[in-house]
Amino acid sequence: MAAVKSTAVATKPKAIYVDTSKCTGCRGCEVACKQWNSLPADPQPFAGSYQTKRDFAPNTYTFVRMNEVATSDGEVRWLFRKSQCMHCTDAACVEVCPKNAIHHTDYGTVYRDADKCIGCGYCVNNCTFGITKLDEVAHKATKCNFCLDRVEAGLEPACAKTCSTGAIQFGDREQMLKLAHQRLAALKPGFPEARIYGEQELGGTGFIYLLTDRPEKFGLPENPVVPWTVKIWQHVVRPAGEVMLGGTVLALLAAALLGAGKTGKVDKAARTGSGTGSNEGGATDAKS
Amino acid sequence: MPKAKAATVYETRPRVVDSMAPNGMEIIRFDGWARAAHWAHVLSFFALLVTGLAIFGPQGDTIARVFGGIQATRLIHRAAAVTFMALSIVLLLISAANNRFRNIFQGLKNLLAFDKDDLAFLNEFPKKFFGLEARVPEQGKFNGGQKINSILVVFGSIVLAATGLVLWNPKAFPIYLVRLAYPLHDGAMFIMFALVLGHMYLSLVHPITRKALGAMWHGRMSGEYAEHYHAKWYRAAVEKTALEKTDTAKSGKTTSV
Repeated sequence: MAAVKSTAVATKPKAIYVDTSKCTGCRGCEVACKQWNSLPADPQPFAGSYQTKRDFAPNTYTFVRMNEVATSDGEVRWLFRKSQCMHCTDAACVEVCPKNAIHHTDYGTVYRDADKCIGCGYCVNNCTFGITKLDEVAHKATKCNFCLDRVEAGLEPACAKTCSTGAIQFGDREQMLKLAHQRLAALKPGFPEARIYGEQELGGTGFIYLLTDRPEKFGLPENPVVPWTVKIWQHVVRPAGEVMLGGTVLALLAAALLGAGKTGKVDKAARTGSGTGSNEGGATDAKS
Repeated sequence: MPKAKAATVYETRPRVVDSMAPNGMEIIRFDGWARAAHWAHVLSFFALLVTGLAIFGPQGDTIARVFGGIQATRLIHRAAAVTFMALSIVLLLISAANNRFRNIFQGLKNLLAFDKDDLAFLNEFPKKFFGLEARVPEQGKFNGGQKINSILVVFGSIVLAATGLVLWNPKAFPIYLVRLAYPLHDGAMFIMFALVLGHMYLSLVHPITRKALGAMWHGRMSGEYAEHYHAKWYRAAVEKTALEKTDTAKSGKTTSV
């Protein structure tokens, strides 16, 4: 793997472009993901909807969200969206991981190193999109790794490889954005709310969506942000705490050095300082 | 007789006792329950601190290895947390029951209320700390610095315990609360860590204050030390004992004091 990586001419940011207008909700990507990553099935009870999978799971890195939306002219439209880790540039999980088990790759994607992961769940609780899940038996957090093993070997990720309608495409990020913009221009007349999602969001994401409607109709936040608590925690509390601790140690060392040998002197001074007062007090006490 | 007044002004049962000290009398400073609580907290706090640091960053892997791997370390952190919390509650109740619950609020008031002498102490403390000459007004059972330490320890422990419980079972709490728990848990840890370093310096290294360590070991403080550094409390203790002596003498009983 490393050999392949080092022989690569130049590592350009990669991206997967998902065109929701072309998705038929076949869920082939779900199957391909499970197959390539050797993930066992997660049988789900029927809940009265095509949406059998409702959330990510330790064995489910991707699933198609099937949103039924009523249009203004009284019709019902399916909005399909393959969902998975967004591979954010401003990634909360990368910031909070205490063991540096999650990091950005040379391709700009977010990789989770299972060997380093201790299953603390920091990334699970702080993910902007609530995607990472915790395997509480194996003590590992899990999420889509952008099929890094395939990408490094010059292959496209499993979901892009299997997609039968061409809704999932893989390539250089620049190129994918170009495709998205071309498609947006073509769709705009029929879909006035159509937009590209992931070009600017969170510093740019590794998955670029072409949405035919507003993000919330697809289950995406309009303005995704890294939680403010993560910023306070990582950029204020931790550095300030470390400085305070270092300052305390220095102050104690200085005190130990300065205070040594001054024992008698200070003791005496304090003694004469309070001695009179306590004697007077003692006298008063005796009287009462 | 102003007996009741003298007894309640300064802390629980200030009492002068016979002593093995070379220069005479000592004053009871901490009863057995208070000392048990202190040392139980010392053990569980350091267990929590060390195992917590193992999870804190990549450097902690070395610590984790000592405890038998990161998962064992995480388990020990939780076991120590339960010990820490359970001991706090049990020992507080026992201590309170021991004093027939009378002194809980008085004790809290003494701990939390700052008078001008406490503030003046804080003003002079840095000089004192570095071994320079300082003019410090008379202090009660706890000086201004000890009050600050106690307040931070009590509230720091509550914050650590509460946020720790949230982080232990994040699914039981709303996500914003879980996310808020992370900076609070780390922040409280940093403050407690710095405090405990200062506390250890003053009780083990500082040439003057380390003489008071015995109070947390056998429970007694020398009258000489109390007179110099806790003058107000010292006088109350002497006064109370004098009153008790008079009472016993009047009632014709023999006194052991």
